[in-house]
Amino acid sequence: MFDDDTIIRALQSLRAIEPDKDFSKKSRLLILASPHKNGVQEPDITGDMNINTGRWIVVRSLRIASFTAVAIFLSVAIYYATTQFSPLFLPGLDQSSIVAEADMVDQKITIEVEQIDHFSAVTKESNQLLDGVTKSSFDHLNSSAIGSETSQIDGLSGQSDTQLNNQLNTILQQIQ
Amino acid sequence: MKKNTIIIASFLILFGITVPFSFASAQSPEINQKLDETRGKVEQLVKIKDNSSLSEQDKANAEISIKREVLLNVLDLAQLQIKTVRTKLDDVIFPDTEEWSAIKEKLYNALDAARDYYSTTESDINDNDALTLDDIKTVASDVEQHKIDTFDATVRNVNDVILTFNVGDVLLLAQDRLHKINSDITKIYAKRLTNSSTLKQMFFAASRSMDQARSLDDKAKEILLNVYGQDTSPSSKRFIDNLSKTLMVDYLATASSSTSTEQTSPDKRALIENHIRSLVVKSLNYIKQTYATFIDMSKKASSLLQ
Repeated sequence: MFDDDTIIRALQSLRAIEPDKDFSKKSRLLILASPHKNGVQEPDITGDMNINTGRWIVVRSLRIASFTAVAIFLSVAIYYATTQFSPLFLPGLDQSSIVAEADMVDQKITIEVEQIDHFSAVTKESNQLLDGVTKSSFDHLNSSAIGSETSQIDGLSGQSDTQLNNQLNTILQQIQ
Repeated sequence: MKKNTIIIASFLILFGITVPFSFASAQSPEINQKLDETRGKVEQLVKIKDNSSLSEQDKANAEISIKREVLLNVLDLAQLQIKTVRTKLDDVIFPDTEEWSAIKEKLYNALDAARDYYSTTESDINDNDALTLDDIKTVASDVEQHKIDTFDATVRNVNDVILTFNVGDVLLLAQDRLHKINSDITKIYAKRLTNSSTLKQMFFAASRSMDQARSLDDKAKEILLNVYGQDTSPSSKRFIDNLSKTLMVDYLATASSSTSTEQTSPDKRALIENHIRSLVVKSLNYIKQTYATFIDMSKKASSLLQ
């Protein structure tokens, strides 16, 4: 068995161990010549822009974008889960969306009816104009009647067909 | 919470509601512009007629020239109307059945025939510089007759079909809302969030309004199918005859109760057209009523569940 002094000496002698000079040189050259593991290396910002720099920016941006997307998705998912399972989450009865929908429906209905009323008025006025061409001439009464229809047609918004017909009947009676 | 609800509502509105509807302007600017221009010409002619400094020959020449332009403008107006209704008809999604395909084809053919008639007449006038006042009057008289007999009815029919189908779109939207509210109401009562039965009653009222709206729109479509569809089939003929009789009885009952001294026998076709329009307008009113109930339900739910 070795005594303590022998062991200490043996350990101290290990300090002097160093690799073979030739092996060190070969290894260094081998490491420097081998390709980088990641393939994309953070570029030297002082160096020229090269293709690796572009790839690094793209990859970095994609990473940031994907992290942000995941974060947003998680936030929305957590929010959705908490509200969805809340007993007070009542999307069907949400007042703002019902009001917006009702306004849209009302607007659509009004536009539809207005368009048809307008068409009906244009048709009748066209017929009156043709009537003026076929008769001996447009007279004052005829022209003033057509003129008065200008305001009738322009102010049709929101009127019902019955109202429109009554107005047109009045106009027609005036010119007879 | 409130802010988030608004954001979600905005998304719903943006993606859920705007998609089915494409809003068109209520009135075509081109038509209004052409109408204004024509009115201006009529005024011009009246002024010329009153102008004592002009010779009779000048007045006669002005009359030919202006009446020719008025006639051409009326032909343009008719073509603009055709263009507008044709575009609207393109947006209508007809049911994929033989009967509706036949109606669609019939409406398109009627519009195309009218467009061809007006454009040919317009070309004929433009190609002939030597038209006399009598020639212009004759053409105007023919155009007027064609308009009254054919074109005006075609445009009315196309508009009725468009309106009926657009009500169908609104009905689908309202139906979707009714389903969403139904699931909320089920949740509220399943979780015993309130003891009040008011919301349930309101929901039944809204459902009944929707049923009425749908039934009226279906009725309008049934009439359209029979009137504009297979006119020759015996069942359609019977349907139209029965409907006409009922409408005539109703008309005479209303006319006899009115104080008007002037009574004219109404055209069978006009009675049916008015009936279709009245069904659609009633259907729209029920949809509006349904939405009014939806809004009341939303307010009531907020107050009950606070």
